Amino acid sequence: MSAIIEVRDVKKTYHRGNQPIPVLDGIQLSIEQGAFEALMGPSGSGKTTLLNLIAGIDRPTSGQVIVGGEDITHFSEGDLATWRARHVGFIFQFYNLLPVLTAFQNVELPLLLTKLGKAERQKRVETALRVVGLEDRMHHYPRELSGGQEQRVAIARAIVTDPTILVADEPTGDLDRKSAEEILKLLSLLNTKFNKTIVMVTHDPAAAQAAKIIRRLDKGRLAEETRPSA
Amino acid sequence: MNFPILVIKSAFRNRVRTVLTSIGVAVTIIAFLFLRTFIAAWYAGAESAGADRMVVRNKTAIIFPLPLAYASKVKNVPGVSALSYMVWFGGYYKDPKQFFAKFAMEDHALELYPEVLVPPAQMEAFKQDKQGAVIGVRLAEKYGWKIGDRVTLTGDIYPGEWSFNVRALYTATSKTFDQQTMYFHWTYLNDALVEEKRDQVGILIFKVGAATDSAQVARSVDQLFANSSAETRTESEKAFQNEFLSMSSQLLGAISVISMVVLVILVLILANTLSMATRERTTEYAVMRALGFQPAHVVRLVLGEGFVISLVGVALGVGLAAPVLRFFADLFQRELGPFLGAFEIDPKLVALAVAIALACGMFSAALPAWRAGKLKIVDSLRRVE
Ligand SMILES: Nc1ncnc2c1ncn2[C@@H]1O[C@H](COP(=O)(O)OP(=O)(O)OP(=O)(O)O)[C@@H](O)[C@H]1O
Ligand SMILES: [Mg+2]
Repeated sequence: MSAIIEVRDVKKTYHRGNQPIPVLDGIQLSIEQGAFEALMGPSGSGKTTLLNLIAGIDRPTSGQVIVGGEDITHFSEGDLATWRARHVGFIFQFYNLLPVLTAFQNVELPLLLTKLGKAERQKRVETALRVVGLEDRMHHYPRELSGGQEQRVAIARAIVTDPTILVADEPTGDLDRKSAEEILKLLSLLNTKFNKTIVMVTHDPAAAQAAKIIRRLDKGRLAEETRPSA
Repeated sequence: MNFPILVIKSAFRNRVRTVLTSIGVAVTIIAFLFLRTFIAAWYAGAESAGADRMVVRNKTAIIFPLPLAYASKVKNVPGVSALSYMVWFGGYYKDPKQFFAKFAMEDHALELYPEVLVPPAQMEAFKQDKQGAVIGVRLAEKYGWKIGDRVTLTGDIYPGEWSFNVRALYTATSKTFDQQTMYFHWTYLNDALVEEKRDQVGILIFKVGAATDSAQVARSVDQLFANSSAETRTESEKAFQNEFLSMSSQLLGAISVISMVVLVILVLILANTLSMATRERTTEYAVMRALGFQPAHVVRLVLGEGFVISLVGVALGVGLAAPVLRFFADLFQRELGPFLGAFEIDPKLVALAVAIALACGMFSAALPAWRAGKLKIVDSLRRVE
């Protein structure tokens, strides 16, 4: 299988005043189509930074990020946005649903950027909500849902556009053990049954067990990958 | 769902704040409409003046009278057609604070005002009764006076008790002609005065023919009395009223400035709400941007919110403006009747207020929108964590 995500010699340096802070220091990474990878490492090691680069919401200081064969490194702001709408599904630690919208409308939100008609949108939203097991909650507002349910709505929002990759930054970080397990099971299902490529940042070794491959990031460098089951 | 629905739902995120802001917008709109209408009404009083009517007054000041003898002299000036005269009576009915205008007029004075309508039979009855009075219908309504009622005024310029019989009611076809004025016979007043106060008038009013050069006529009239003890100043009724009103030009200027200040307040109210609303929603905008929405989408969302909030406020303000202004219209008609024209909201002014308020909404949203549009996604997402 070919690499769907390729990170070539990526460096990312922040500046605090005149002081350069190297966060990523020459990352080489290749992720296969259909992979489910967990990115682990100590706090401040650059996990979120790397994930953001892969997802096209941030740019490397140097190096290349190639997703689905497209080098997104030099995309304009507008082109990047269009690209993300098409290719990236986001899952955040704090769900980040819009509180003024119902579950249904939150899932529908990214479809507003497509040319799909109302009927087609509705079909897709209902399908996505069925996959996450929340079709009976579609008219609920986020405040009427539990944390685990909110995260499932967020996952439905991430998959409704059928993106090339799913990125999740600590998707279980704010959930109790039981809800976290449900979310991880859901991600595994998306990976195995729907063949979604997933990159997940996590602190939690138990969560990382859900992934097929675990990578460790330390001081801006990637260590050897491991396989949880192996 | 579609984008407009998203905008509306976002605008009503914080319902209390949105409603309070809308009320704030509504109040400023009402204040703006009120102040502008007040100014317009004030000037309308002057606008209504007949173009073909001329007024002769004492050159020194309006409060000084002119000798009655001037009337017959002015009548003979070429170009002068109908001529009449009247004098300001002052005085009050029962309560000095309850103001309405009272004039002692030459019997035919109202005939110079085609916009004033009096039933002929009533006019005849007025002329027959030395103590007769012609009163405006609104004045009659206000005090419940009917034909035949006896009304006693207390004089101040002309001290004493003065009794009149209501003989005629007038209406006016022009909205700006005051309908709360009382007219009575100049001869009744004159005959009651002591010798040295008699035979004086406040102003002479005359008409000039359509083809006549009214400026020339005015010069001829004033020339007649040049170097006399009572020099005159003759001008069109419009100029006369404008001058009378210009006494208040500073007041009007101040009101005009306040009406502009009100708009500044409008912008501040909206800008405050919108910048608060957008600042606490930075993460949401970042999420939308991450999902693929363009900076322009976010800009439009914020501008749209400004538009929706000001639209609600405008609708509320315009809806409430009519009853509020009607309340003040009645109040002013009672207190300031003779000085003000019709106190009615001009639809054009409403359109202007709506346009201004919506523009203010967009203007206030411009900065928050610009900020939201250029936010850095990763920084804004990080903020929560
Ligand atoms: N905008 C920024 N300016 C300066 N430094 C930054 C900025 N964003 C991130 N950093 C720094 O970069 C480093 C890596 O941050 P990052 O969020 O990628 O770490 P992380 O591995 O995700 O950590 P955590 O597990 O705590 O989420 C940190 O030291 C952080 O302080
Ligand atoms: Mg992180």
